[in-house]
Amino acid sequence: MLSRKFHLVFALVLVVSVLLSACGGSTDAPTQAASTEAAPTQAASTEAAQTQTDATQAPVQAANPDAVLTMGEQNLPTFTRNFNPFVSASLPGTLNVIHEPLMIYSSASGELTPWLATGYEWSDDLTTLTFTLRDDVLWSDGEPFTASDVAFTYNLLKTAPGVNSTVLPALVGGTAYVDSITAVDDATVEFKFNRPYTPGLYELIAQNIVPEHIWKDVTDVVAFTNDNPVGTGPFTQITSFASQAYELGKNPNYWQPGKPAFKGIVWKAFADANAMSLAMADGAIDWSNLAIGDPQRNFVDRDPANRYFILEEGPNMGILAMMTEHEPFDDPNVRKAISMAINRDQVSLIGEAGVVSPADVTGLTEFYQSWKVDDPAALSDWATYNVDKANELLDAAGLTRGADGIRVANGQPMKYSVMVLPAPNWMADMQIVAENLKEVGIELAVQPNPNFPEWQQTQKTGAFDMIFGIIDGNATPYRFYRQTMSSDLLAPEGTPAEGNYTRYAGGKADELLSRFASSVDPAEQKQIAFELQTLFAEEVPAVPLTPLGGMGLINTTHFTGFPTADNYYASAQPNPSFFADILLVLNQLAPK
Amino acid sequence: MRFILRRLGFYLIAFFVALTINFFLPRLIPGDPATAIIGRPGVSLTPEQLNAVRTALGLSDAPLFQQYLNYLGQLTRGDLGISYTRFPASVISVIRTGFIWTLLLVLTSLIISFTLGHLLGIYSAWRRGAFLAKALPPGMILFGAFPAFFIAISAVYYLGYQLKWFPTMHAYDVALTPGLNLPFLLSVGKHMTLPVLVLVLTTMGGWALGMRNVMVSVLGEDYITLAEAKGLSSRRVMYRYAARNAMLPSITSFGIVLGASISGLLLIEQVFSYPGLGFLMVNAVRNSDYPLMQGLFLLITVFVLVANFAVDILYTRLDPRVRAE
Amino acid sequence: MTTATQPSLASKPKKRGGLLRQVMGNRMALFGVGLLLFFLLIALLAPIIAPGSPDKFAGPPNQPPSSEFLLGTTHLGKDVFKQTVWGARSSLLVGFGTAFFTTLIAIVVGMSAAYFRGLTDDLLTLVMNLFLVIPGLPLLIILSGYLRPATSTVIFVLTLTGWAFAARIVRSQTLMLREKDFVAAAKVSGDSNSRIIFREILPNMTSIIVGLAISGVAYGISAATALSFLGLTDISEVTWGTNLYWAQNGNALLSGAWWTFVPSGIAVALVIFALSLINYAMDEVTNPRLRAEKDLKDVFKQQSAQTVRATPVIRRAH
Repeated sequence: MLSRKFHLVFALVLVVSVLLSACGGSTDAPTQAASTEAAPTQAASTEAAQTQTDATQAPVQAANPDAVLTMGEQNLPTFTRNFNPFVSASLPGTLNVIHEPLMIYSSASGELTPWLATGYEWSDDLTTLTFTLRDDVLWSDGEPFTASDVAFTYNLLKTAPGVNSTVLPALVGGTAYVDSITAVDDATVEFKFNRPYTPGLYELIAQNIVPEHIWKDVTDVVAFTNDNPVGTGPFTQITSFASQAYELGKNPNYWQPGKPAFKGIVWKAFADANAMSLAMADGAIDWSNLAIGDPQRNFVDRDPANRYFILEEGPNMGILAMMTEHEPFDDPNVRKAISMAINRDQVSLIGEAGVVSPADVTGLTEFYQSWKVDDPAALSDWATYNVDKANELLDAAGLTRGADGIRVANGQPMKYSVMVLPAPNWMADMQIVAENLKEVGIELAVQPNPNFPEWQQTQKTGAFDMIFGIIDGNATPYRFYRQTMSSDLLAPEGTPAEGNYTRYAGGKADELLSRFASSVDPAEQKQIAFELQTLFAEEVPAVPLTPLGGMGLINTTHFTGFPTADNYYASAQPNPSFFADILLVLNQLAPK
Repeated sequence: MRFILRRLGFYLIAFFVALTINFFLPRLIPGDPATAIIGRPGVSLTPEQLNAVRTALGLSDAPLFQQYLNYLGQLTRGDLGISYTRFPASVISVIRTGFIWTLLLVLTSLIISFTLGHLLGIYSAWRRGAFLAKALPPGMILFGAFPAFFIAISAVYYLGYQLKWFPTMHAYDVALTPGLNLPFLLSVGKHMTLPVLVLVLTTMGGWALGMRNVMVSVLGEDYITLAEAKGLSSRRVMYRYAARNAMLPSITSFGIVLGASISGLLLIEQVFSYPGLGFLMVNAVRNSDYPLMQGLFLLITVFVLVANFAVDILYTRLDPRVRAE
Repeated sequence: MTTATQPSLASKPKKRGGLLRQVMGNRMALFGVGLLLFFLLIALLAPIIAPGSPDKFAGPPNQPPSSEFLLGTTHLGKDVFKQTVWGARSSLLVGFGTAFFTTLIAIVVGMSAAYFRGLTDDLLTLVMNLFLVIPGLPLLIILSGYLRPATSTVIFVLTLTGWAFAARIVRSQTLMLREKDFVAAAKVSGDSNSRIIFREILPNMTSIIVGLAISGVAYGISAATALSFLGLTDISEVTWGTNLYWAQNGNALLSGAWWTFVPSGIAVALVIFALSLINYAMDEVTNPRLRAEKDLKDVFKQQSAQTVRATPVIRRAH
């Protein structure tokens, strides 16, 4: 860190030097600038030259064990040191790089990979979930990893005020289904459930485990910044830290022998997606999940031999939510008609720049491919663009057009203002929807609102006619359908609901949902998932608009082993704060 | 002395007003701060999660006046609260990382643009017939008319990205360790060239035009005619007699221009990913990090107030008329 | 933000017709007025020049300029030409709206401060100085962060942060005019305060007020453009600033789609250029020394102007 006095001296020196350099000496600027830009890899490449001479004799040896993987972060302009996995402000890499989960579910392979746990077992009554742990894992400080670390982590989440984690709803509050977590012996952990809830497996395994011997002495868990983290992950050592970049070094005691095959990961901060796009296009970053416009042209075509991208859809679905307690949206046919008036191909190709596929009548994204019925369009036709039929349905519902061409419902013209978070793609989507709905006599005023809490609150309390909403899902479709159709979640308008924001009150889904949650048979669960999809297609509790997706941009100039279309073993997007797939990739990467 | 004290009193009032604006603004926004901190599109939060954050942040339901007193109390201890996006980092610790960089850019570009602008202004007033001098005012106006960020983006793209003459982002090469060593200082110099260039280009015109106009007026004063009649060299007349007097109004406006420069810098830092205060502020606004926004606003205000006060003191030294008052 | 020159404080009271005639006699001003009228016409005639909604997804994305799309299409396939033409409407509306309100407030506050003196003046001056010294764009950004984005919000916020500068100039002008003989004469003849303010002082400040209003338009347009570019205004509206925002978010430069970026940027620059030229020319016309230059050139046509250092002022008899 720089001292204050130094800053002053240094500022003065700079003022003078810039004044001088402004007067002349700009001729040598290009080469100089280029050389400093290349600096991060330069140190490595001299090493590479050395190892390459060796490599002529022993070609099996990895080319460059000192290589550093460069990643970018577009959401944090500058870094503030924080490696606490229990707060939302922790830096990228805290989760699923420094710390590790029990098991990894990858949507790419659709498989569960044992990680810190070797396996799990349900009791016959489905109220006890037991994990068996690896016995050869050491923490990065050399202490052994045991079941008590695991039990400690989950119990900490249950008791410490203010901690945040995706598994929190499983442990505390009205949605909690886990009663207790105990270490049976050094290699066995037992979760006691208060009711059968099998989707809980996928929620519980995601929690990253912290060392008890460090964290038991932390009095204020939330305020602890964990400056020098101890974890079980492949990279745990903070080898350098500045506000623009930090570097993670290898875990000296990593439990997977010979891995990782390279020295470290550097994370660089960028102002926003635009700044990072330039760096990405320039080849300054090896791997990112940046949403770059026209990735083929702006990224791949600049170095086709080394670059590619993979499009992926996440579990979340963007919807046009209509308040089903308000007329005329209480009529499923009106919801269907509005859905039919939307040109989803246009939304997908233009609004979302082709990153995601058009939504279908199941409401599920391609993330759930293995759960989906073969032909969603056979369930119902309301996700297919059909202006004539939309008009017919609306006419049949008694919504006649006024003199200005706008339909009238309940004596009021069908003009609605739709709140949307102003992300460029969602704005574009909603503008397309507004254009589309004009054709059937409904007028939408797209109202961007950057105030996230207000948007959230509006959704929860149901204080809308129409709103751009997002339904979140996870490993199984259970959560998606619970969030859209469960009557457990119903709350009167004005009271915040924890889901089912459109107040869909069919009640038919409840039985299916509870059957799903008390089954461990994948085939049976899949069958129930089909029934849920059929129900969703019949009832249209919400109008799916566009899946939330992203892309993995991969530059293999320095590393090989990234997921490819042929070898799709993990998500191609490095998004360690939400998905553990990055651990699978880091252990496959090899420097060139 | 009385003048200085009166100005000081004014700045204290201004500071207090800024404090109060700062306190009330965030309390006007609808929505729950806890949702702002941990909420993300596509993540539904349970009341348990939200309560957890509220507890951690110490958000209170105390009466507004009580909260106001607490806020003032915290400020006297230099506590600007806790950043939402970097929770639990304090706002002060976040701001500290950006302050030096903004100061560096502002001072460098102000010095350069002030000097160059005035030289150009003097030149164009002095040689009013010359082609260059005639083309200067409309040229300067045209340059100043472009939005600063537009020029910044063009510079990033053509000089940085296409021609690779200068780095396009960051304050120094992230592979280097900050310290008093030549590679680092050179890297800092190179990284600040484009932002400074843009700032100078967009602010220089104002100085030049202002100086030109005052110079023209001053050149008509009797004492200039007298100096010329006495046969003093035109160089001496131009700099010692005319320019010196013509610069007084520029000095008074220095404080205001400083404020404007910081404003211009906000966008330019954003375009260059330059980790200064403006960059932090734009991102704080985008991420609804209200405490950070407030802290930055307060700090920038204090910065401008202090600079204005310094200019006032300087002015009393330069212009005896003010002292006499 | 803007380098629009402020009208000189030293201008003398003069007849309105004279001012207009003189300004129009200036080449720079003529050019400026022409350019401004050109953009005003575009804004007014937008439905005729570029019929149809600029929001329409008109064609394939990122098409370079062609006969079908004069300025190409954006990454969303919207017609850039239409967006630029329609953008003039809202951008100029914000500019003129802001100018109207800032000037109005400046006149009311500045003139009452100067005319009533005493406590009123002290308080109003304090408020003016406060608004001057609190940095504008940060306050603007923060206010926009709190308020829901809309055109009216933008005008409100810009007015709030922009009126003080103009008010200070109006105040000092009024102070000067207040001491003039014609005001004293009006007072002696028993005219009411309001009559003195509106009939005697205000007409004599026309050039200053027009100048301030012009600066206000420039300020409004450039600040609104900056806010929109940051995405802090209603980005569903078509303005030059939001056009730039969308271009930036569509990776316009990276894809080489300069046509999505350049037209709106140039449009903003040209309008501000036009406004600044008018202001600069007005300054030349109303500042006797700058004005004398022109007369002088006619007189000394044969002589090289370079040798003339000082600008002789044709002094009027007092």
